[in-house]
Amino acid sequence: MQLNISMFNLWDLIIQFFLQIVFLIVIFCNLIIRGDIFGVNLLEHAAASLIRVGVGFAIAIITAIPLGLLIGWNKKLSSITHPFIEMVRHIPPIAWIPFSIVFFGLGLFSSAFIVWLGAFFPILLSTASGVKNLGRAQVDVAITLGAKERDLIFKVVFPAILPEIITGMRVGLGVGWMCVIASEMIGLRKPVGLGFFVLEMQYLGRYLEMIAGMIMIGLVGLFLDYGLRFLENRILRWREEVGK
Amino acid sequence: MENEGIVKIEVVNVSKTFTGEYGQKVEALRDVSFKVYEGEFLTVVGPSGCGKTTLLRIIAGLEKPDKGYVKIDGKKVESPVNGLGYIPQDFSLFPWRTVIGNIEFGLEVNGVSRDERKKIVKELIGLVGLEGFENSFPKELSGGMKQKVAIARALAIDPIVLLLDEPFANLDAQTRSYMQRELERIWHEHKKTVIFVTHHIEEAIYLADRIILLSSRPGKVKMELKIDLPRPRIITSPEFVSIRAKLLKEMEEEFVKTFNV
Repeated sequence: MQLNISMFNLWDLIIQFFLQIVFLIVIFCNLIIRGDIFGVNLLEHAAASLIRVGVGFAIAIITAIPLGLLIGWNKKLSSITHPFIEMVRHIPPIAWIPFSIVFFGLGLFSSAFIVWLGAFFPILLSTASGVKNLGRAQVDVAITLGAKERDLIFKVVFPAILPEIITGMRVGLGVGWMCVIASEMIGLRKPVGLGFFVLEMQYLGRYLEMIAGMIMIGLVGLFLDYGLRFLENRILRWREEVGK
Repeated sequence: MENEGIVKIEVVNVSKTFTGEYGQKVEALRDVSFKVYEGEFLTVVGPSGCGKTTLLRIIAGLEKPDKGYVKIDGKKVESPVNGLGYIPQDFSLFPWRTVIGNIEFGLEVNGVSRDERKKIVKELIGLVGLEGFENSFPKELSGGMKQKVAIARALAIDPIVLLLDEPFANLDAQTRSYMQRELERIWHEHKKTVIFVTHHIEEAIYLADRIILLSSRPGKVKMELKIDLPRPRIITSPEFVSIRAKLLKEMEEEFVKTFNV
């Protein structure tokens, strides 16, 4: 199943191209229905990657939002943590993979750690900047109406910056998804996961299967974003939209 | 002005200077003193930038004066005062809450029970005339309706005093005069003490029992004027027009100063 372009004939090229696409679709369906050469279904690979990304992303949400609120609220803390955050943020998550393998071995947590690194900073930064850009009026009114600090955080600041938080989550989930694929490629896990699958197919010279795996990576990413956008539209019904 | 009844708010020698980001000093208020009496409608007028907003924020305890103090009901204001009806110019509604949710915010954070909240909110929605919009979000309301919600939200906690900071500044002329009438009506029904800040002289005369005119920066009390015209006032009546002319002249002086500096 190799691309054969020995004849420099345009017509031939076009036919080859469409033929390969047809093969690709057939192989993609076959991978989902019957599984790969080891008998593992493509959806099982996707599920394995999703679990890894899910754990890392959940931890990122739990850690980044409270910290973002704190940093946004407290100017001093913001200036103290700023250099540290910017330094760590600019180390690509992929560069952390060796470190992660040393520390967490080849289990779920080393992948989740890489995902966490990728998703944490977009959520943190958008949460913090959301707090910083918050209008004075809403907070003032809440205080004069008798809101305590806890009410301010949970009933004013948090809902007010929810749009920014969700934007951060969308970016973070995208980065996290890329991270999990990369981590599965570099530190080979137990033989499931889309990153593992794509790399393995390349080793075996099964290039159409490799591309089918890549398409699956893209599709899952698309559905993840649809999911978050659905959530966004449900939660942020109140938001005023400017664009059309 | 002496002997108007019980003193509700006392502002004594309040001064405030802000330091900007690059160390430049801006003197907002200098030795501002006045009293507000129980049930009185006081408007504070002054050219833009004269520290009107700062004054309100100091009264509400949201800002500390450098000098002087504010007393509400004889108690010195040291920290943000709980239980004030503060209504800023704009963008103060909680856009993620419905009309009901906005109005009941103060009740909620003060631990009022759900049933009690429902009752109070229903009454207020009737008072400000927002029936049919109970479950709308602020984005679905016009500017005037938004400010009605802000007023209802402030009234919900049965505030010690209402502080309004140019609440109608962003409304068109018609809506503005309609809202002025509405506010007067609501004030009549509730008999709250009101401090209303504006740069709009007509609005001030229309609403006020008494007007305090602040000078341009730094804001000082330039003039106090009692308005005795019977309500509702007719803005085209000769008395109204003559008061307006007088205030306008004073205001003009200050305005010119602001722009000559």
